[in-house]
This record gives sequence, C-alpha cells and structure tokens, in this order.
Amino acid sequence: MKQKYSNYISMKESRKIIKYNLKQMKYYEKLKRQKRELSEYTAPMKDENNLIEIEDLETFFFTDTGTVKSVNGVSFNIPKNKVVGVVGESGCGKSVTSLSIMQLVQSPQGQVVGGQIRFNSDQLGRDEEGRKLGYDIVKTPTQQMYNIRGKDITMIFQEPMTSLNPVFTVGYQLDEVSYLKNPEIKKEDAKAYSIEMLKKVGISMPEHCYDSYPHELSGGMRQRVMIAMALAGEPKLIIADEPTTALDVTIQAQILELLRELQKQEGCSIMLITHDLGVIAEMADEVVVMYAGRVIERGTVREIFKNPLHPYTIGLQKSKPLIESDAKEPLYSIPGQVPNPINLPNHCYFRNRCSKCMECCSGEYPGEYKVSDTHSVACYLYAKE
Amino acid sequence: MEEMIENNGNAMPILNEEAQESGPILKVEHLKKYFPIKRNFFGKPVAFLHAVDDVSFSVMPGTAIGVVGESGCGKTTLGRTILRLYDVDGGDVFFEGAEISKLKKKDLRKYRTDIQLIFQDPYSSLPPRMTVGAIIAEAVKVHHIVPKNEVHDYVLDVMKQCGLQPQYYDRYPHEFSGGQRQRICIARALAVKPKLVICDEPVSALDVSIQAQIINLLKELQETMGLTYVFISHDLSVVKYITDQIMVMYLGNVMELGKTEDIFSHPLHPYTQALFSAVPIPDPDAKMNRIILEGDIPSPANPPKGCKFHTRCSKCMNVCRMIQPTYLEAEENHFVACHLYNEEIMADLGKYDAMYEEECRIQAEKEAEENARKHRKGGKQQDGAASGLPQSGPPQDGTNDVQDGSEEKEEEG
Repeated sequence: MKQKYSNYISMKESRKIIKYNLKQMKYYEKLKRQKRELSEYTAPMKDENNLIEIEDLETFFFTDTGTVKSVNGVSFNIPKNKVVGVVGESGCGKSVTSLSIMQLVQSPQGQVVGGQIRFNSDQLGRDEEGRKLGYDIVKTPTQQMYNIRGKDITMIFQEPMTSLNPVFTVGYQLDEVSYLKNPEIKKEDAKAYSIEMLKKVGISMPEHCYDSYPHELSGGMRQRVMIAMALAGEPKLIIADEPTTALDVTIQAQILELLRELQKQEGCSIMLITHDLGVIAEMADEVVVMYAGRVIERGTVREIFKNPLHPYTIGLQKSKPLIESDAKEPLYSIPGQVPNPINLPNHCYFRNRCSKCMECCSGEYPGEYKVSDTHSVACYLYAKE
Repeated sequence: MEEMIENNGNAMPILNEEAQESGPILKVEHLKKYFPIKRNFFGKPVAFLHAVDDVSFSVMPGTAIGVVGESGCGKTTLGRTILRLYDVDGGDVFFEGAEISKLKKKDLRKYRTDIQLIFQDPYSSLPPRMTVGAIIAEAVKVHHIVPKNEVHDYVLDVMKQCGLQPQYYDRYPHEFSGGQRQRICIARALAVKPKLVICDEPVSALDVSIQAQIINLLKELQETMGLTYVFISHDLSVVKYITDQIMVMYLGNVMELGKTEDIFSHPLHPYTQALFSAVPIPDPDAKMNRIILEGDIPSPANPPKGCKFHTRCSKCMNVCRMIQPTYLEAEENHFVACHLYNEEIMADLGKYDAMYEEECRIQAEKEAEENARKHRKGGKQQDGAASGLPQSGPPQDGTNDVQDGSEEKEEEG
C-alpha cells in the first residue's frame, strides 16, 4: 500500500499554482516595463558611508510546485571600502541576493517582489533635507541599469569556464569593458588598458594571454581574467560569488591574496559570497549569516567567530572539520536538513534542528535583536524580555 | 551457482587464510596508468599522459588511507585503476593476497562485491528512473547476497544503518537532498557487504553541516562493519577525521606517505607544507606565514623534468631540476620523495650544482646551434615574423622591453 506524501501535489492543485504564477509574473513584468521618472527610482541613503543598503529585500521564484521565497526580508549594509562576507548553505539565498543587486534574477519566474536596494551613486545630488540620494535598484529601469552594471557594480562568478565566452579571445572580452565605459575609446588604447589589467592580476605573459581563448587557460588563470574584467570597469562594488569554490586550495590561496591586495589598492568594496567559513574569516570585515532566505546573524568578523550567538552559526562553526582540531572525537553535526523552501511555516526555520529550542520558538519568526551596535541576531534566546 | 564460485575461488591464487588475516587487505605496488594522448598515422599511441606513475602503498584491514592532492593529480584514476575500471598499465594490485590486476573479467566478478566505490556527485550517480529500494536491491539480487525472499528486509536493514527512513523505499532520487542522496549511494555500496570501499570525494559536493553528518556516518559504519576505506579527497581537514594513513599525490607521483598524525604534526615535503598552509582557518585572529605556491599545476601531459614539483617549490635546488627524487623512509613509516631528506645528495650538493651548470651549458649550446641552423634555413621567414612583432604599439613599452630581452637572451645562449 502506498502512502500519500506531502510533497506530491495533485493535478488540481498544480493547475491552481500555475494560474496564480502566471498572474503574478504578468503583474511584475508589467511593473518593470512602466516608464518611471528619476525621482521614482531614487531614494535617500540612510548613511552616506554605505555603498549599498539592502532593506527588506524579497525575491520570489514562482515555480510549478509553489512559490519559493529565496530571499525573504533580507536587510544589511555594505559600507564603503569594506569586505562584507555572506555565508550560508546552498539554497539559502545568498546568490539570489547578489543577483538582485545586479538586477540579473532569472525572469519571468524570478521576481524582486519588495524591499529596497539603495546604491550610493555620486551622479545624483542631495535631496531637500541634505541627504545623499542613491538609486533604488529594485525600481531602476533596465536602460538606467546598463550604466551601473559592469561599471559601478561588477561581478565575479563561481565557474570561470562557463562565465567566459568560449568563442571570443580573452582580449576581446576584456576590451568590451573599455568600450562600455567609453564608447569612443580607440582600439589600441583599449588593448593597452586590457593588458595593463591582466598585468595587475598577476598574469605573467599578458600579451600572450590577451590573444588566447578561455580554454587555453587553466582554472586559476581564468579566474584571474574574470577578476581583471571585474576591475576594468573601476567599480565601487565587486560581487564575488564563490570565487574560489571551483579552484584548488593552493590556487585559492593565490586568488584570495590577490583579491585582498586589489581591494586595498583600488579602494572598492567587495561582497564576498561563500560557504567556506575559513575564507570568510580571512577576507571579510563584516559577516552576514543567512539561512533559508533570511539573515539570522550579522556582525563584524570578530563578533561572529569569537562570539557566535545563533545556534546555527555555532553549529556551523563546530561542524567544520579543522586541521588543528582533535580527530579522535566525532565531528559535531547539525541534525536534520535545510527545510523545503516551498511553503515555509511562520516560525523559526531552524526550529527543528536547533538544540536550544524553546516554547516561544513555535510562535512567529523572531525579529532581529541587537546585541551590540554592529552585532544583531534573529533568535528568541537573545530577546530582552 | 555456488559450486561455480567455489571452483573459481580454487582456481585463483589466493594465499592461505592466515596470511589473509595478518597481511594488508590491499597492496598496490608500482602501479602505473598511462592514457594515450597522441596517436600516429596508424593509430598507435605515441605520447602518454602519466596519470598514475609508480604508486605503491598498502592498507591494513579495518583502517583507512587518505589520498590527497589537487585536481589532476591522479587520485581518482588511482581509485578506478584499483577497481579495474581502467586496465593497469604496469605494477600490481593485490587484494587479500590475490593479484587482481591480471585477472580475467569473469574471475574479477567475485571481487566486485568485495570492493565498492562511492562517487563524488550524488546528483549524477543515481539512476533517476529507479526507486531507492530498487537501486539498493539491484546489486544484492545480481550477486545473490541474500535469498530472494529476504531481499526486501535486507535492503530496509541496510537503509536503516545508513540513516534512511524505511518510507523512502519507494521514492525516487530526485525527491532527496544532496546529503540524503549521498546516504543512498553509501547504502548501495554497502549492501553487497564489501570489505574495501573506495570513497571518491564523497563529501566535497555537500554543505558543511551535511558534510559532518556523512563523515560521522562513514566513521560509524567503519567501526560496526569493519570496513577498509581508500578515502580520496582534496580537503585535508576532512581526511584527518577518517584516515589512519595519508598519501599526498602530485602529478601522478606520491610525494609523501605516512601516518595521519605524523603528517599533520610535521609534514616533510614542501608540497605538503604548502598544502597545509593554504587551507583557510576560520579564525580572524589567526596569523600564519602562508607559503603561497606560485603558478599553476603543470600539465600532466608534459610534466617538468626531475622532481615534478620543482617549478613551484620554494626550496628548489639544482638537483631537483635534473633528478627525480627517490622514495625514501625519512622517519619510521613516513615516506617522502624529496631530495631534502636524502643525505647522500644533500652531502655533496656542489657536485650536482656543477652537473646542472654543465647540463645547462650543453642545452644552451644545442639551442644556439638550432637557432643558427634555423637562421640559415629560413632567414626570410624569421625576418617577417620579427617585423610583425612591434606592431602591437607603443603604449606597452615596458612589456615589449621584457619580451625583447628574453629574445635576446635566447639568441645569446
């Protein structure tokens, strides 16, 4: 006899979901196509020293099995000249957050539904109250976004092989950035600039590399080319989405060293997305820990690693095998698995795996509790009465 | 059927039972696996990629050996060659005293249940059209592990051992997350009662919190079932939890082999040291003098002469550029392939330096001759190519200088 499982949906339900999805997608696509005045997609920054302010960002995916709330009310800031690390397991929404900043979420099924992403741009002046204006990327029209994407905000992707175009030479792809920045630039100047960039990222024979195709380069070299491409636009923010996951440890050490140096040299901010706590500890100034589409803890590196508060953060750090640790004892492991992202209940998503679960955890999703100026955590354990 | 198996068993050169119990369960001697990369006109291979080159080690029953290295170092090929998924090109593999590297396919069947493989990617290694129960039961039925009427209960039993709930029996792989799928893979491998399990990066595709679960499960199963593991991984910290012995590989060669504690407390080979220092530590205050290796791994199709690691080594000497280091026991049960620990060579380095200079001189002379001949032969063509170079324009003067310099050097030499 077969049992009926909860994750099977009937034909009727399925049809209902698809109908709902179509309606939603049409609505949001229409919103996107609307013509907007400049004032509609600018918003005053809360703090001038922040490059990016994300507030209650919601990015949903309308899939055939239900709505996946990939990013569900995320808010954090990226200050100028800092490295912000975003950690979390796969499927926790860290990549979708970064894609939302770039306005690159796979549409029409993926849509930024709500919230604000304010990008501090020097092109806009101040409003009447003297606050600095920034672009609200959620509402910015695509045409305007072309001026930001690739210039002010650039991205380094995880898989350097799939993100470089195999049918064009590295040089051609690098030159494109120069043309984007200055359409009237001469061909020779663009080439000179590209070669300079390749030199900057530590490629030993830049002229040779300029003329080669991506498949001729090794993984580390390809990632260096990607970094060169990201730097060529003289960005204010580089989003590095798992830049070293596909690389070997020794090459990873090289790339991280390079990124750190370049960040200091160029004075840009980096949003570093990774699942490796070691990389975060080494690179980041501030850390955001995400779980199932929500920020569960954020603070400076020292706070997160020396004084982790959320049970998930503590568990994550304990379950990472270390070189120095004692191998005799069994490794701590968080029981259970990440919840199904469809139809998440309105209580703490970590409840079923948590060792410190209390009665009130079955209630509403906990809000953010501030422990110090920079450190906040979403857990009832730290609620002040 | 049983008779047949017995007959086969008698036909094979198995040592007596005492030797089986005391000796290593797996012994690999000078194992070589070359892949042809270039063939001549008649289809005969002329150039080879040395994926596994002269690897020897042995594993005692109930212990685990870790194979560590960067991508392309031949660790996966090693695992598959032990299983005879690839044919052996040289050397021997002994399993429980029997030489399996030269067995015929038919005779090999018996060993298929004894040695099992767990793959890296749990997403692509499970058949999408079979239920979990069918996946696990398939090999059990083929190899007659238990009588037919007990298969169902046996599979449920194995599933329970691997932390899978019984109601998963009728589900399909796509309904599971990565960690659960890896559990299914483990259950499938263990269902045929293997003695040796080759784990090919079983946790590298999983998240940190799931990784810990799988590592603990593998360790637990080892204790309860007395399994022997060959644990292939690129992550040193994971290997530490599971293995008793570690083998570090680089470009098909073994660089270091020793007990896990020894290797972790004092790695001898410069490559192992660099590998350890490259692992990022989740502690913002930890300061370490990192040895950052320069450059990439050389192509295994065209490995450097002498010690294969010399192009990236921080302690490279002239000897390393000429002579491949021998595999020697620097400490008890701690083998390393590096000239630094060879007292004979370290004693008279001067001799080797002189030798190297001599060799360089000969090489340079040869090149000069070659160049001169080329000049005489096709001077016109060369001129054409040379005049083509400076076209790249004046902005990158510095780089052009460098290039010119190197060309001059070549010509001088």
